[in-house]
Amino acid sequence: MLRLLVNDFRLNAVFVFWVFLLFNLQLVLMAKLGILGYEVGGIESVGIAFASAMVVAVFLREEQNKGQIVIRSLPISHAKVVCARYLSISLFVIASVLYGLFFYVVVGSSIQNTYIQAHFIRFIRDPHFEIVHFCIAWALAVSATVSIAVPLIFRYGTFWRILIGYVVVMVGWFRCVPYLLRWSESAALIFGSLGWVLFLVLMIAILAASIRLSILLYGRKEL
Amino acid sequence: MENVIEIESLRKTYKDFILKNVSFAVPKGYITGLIGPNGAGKTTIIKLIMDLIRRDEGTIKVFGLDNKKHEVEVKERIGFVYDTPYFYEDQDLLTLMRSIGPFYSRWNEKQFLSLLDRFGLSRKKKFGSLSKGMKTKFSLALALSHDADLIIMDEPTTGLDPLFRREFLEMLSEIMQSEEKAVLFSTHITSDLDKVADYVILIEDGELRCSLWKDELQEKWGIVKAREDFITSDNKHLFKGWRKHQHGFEALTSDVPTVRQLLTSEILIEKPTLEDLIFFMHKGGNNAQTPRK
Repeated sequence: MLRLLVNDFRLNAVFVFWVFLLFNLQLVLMAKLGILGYEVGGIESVGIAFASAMVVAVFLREEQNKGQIVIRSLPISHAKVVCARYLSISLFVIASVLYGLFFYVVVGSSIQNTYIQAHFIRFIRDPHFEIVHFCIAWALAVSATVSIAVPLIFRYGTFWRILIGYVVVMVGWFRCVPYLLRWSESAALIFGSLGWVLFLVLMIAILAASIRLSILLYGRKEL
Repeated sequence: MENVIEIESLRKTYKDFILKNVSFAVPKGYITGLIGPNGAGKTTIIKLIMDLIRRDEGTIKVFGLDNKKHEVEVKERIGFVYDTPYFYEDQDLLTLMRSIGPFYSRWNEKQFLSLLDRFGLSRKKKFGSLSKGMKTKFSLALALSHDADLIIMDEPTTGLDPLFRREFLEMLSEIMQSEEKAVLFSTHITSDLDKVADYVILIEDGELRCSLWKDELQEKWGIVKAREDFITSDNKHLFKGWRKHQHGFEALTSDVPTVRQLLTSEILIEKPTLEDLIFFMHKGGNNAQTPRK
């Protein structure tokens, strides 16, 4: 399984680097123009947008190069193929969220965008800001999206379907995300200190169900 | 005789094509040719064996194991060459080898690198910059570098130059010096199989037309050439397929001794090639009216 994981990074390194570079340019441009606000350009948004672009780039390249035909002819179980991909996605998400933080600290402050700085300072210093609930809400939203999208990609994913699906999901996601966050935060607050435990359990359950579904659907994909 | 592949009542339905209850076996220790015209179902069968597509019905046993239930054990022992080799186009051959080879427990890097040298492939070359023939060579090098017991190749000689085709066929013969190995080789270029195949399976329109030893084809089967009036409703059953032309008729028979007895004079019997087999069995035989070029 680790070999598959390494392959995801090794075979896509150059491509992912270009996606990364272009994405940064786009974000810097948006920040310069003052359109990188809280809803679409917060620390977490930058990270998630990065993560989704990286993950989709890996899937798209695999489809373009018929990588699954090679993988399916190798002596690897379907479960390992699927789990390795979920692991790659998790690593991309973690790395991207960390990068989102870095982006705000370094890029955000260097371009003197007062809106971004104000948001960042609020995020760090506001004692009333429910940072744990906020993070849980985001993690839950990301898990839910990944859990629905990945099994569908494993079963029905072709180059154009993935690309169109990605655009639709991202537009929908960023439109819905303020509501989703509000509901998740409210729910987390209602549950109080137990909230983060319940959400963590829920997140793991959703991902586990998604992995199982992906394994099942992956076996049905015709190559 | 031991079989490496046993297929029973295999069925697969597409919108415009049906593989209809195909059953056959691939014997161990021999080169088996899977032949048939384009669109006959050869690639579908190979994809089903490799579990790249789902079967609707039937069983596929490879080394006595179900190819789906024991997927990992089965694929560990198979070297697979695709009809169109797919790999990451922007990666060099060495990176691709490192990404694929170690998945096999018996992977032999030295052997792979020596095959690359033998095939004249530069390790640093990007896969996308290779011609189709060179891509096939790369696939072949991968398939031959993990001590596979069964080599499955889908149209491997398409796109290869005549020199390498000959070398490739010699390599197959080298592999077959070990009686523990087997090769399943699909093609519509039958001249290659005429040289190396031991056993042939003919598929057409998703149906199995026949499977036989090539020796049997050479010894018992024949192309009968005679005057048109030799073929009558009484002896029609002796012929698998025929074509009439202005000088008489040509027919394929699987029973040369009987034909010799019945049609005593003015007949010529020639040994059939695999191309003859495909031609005369076309559409189930008896309809092969189109003149051969």
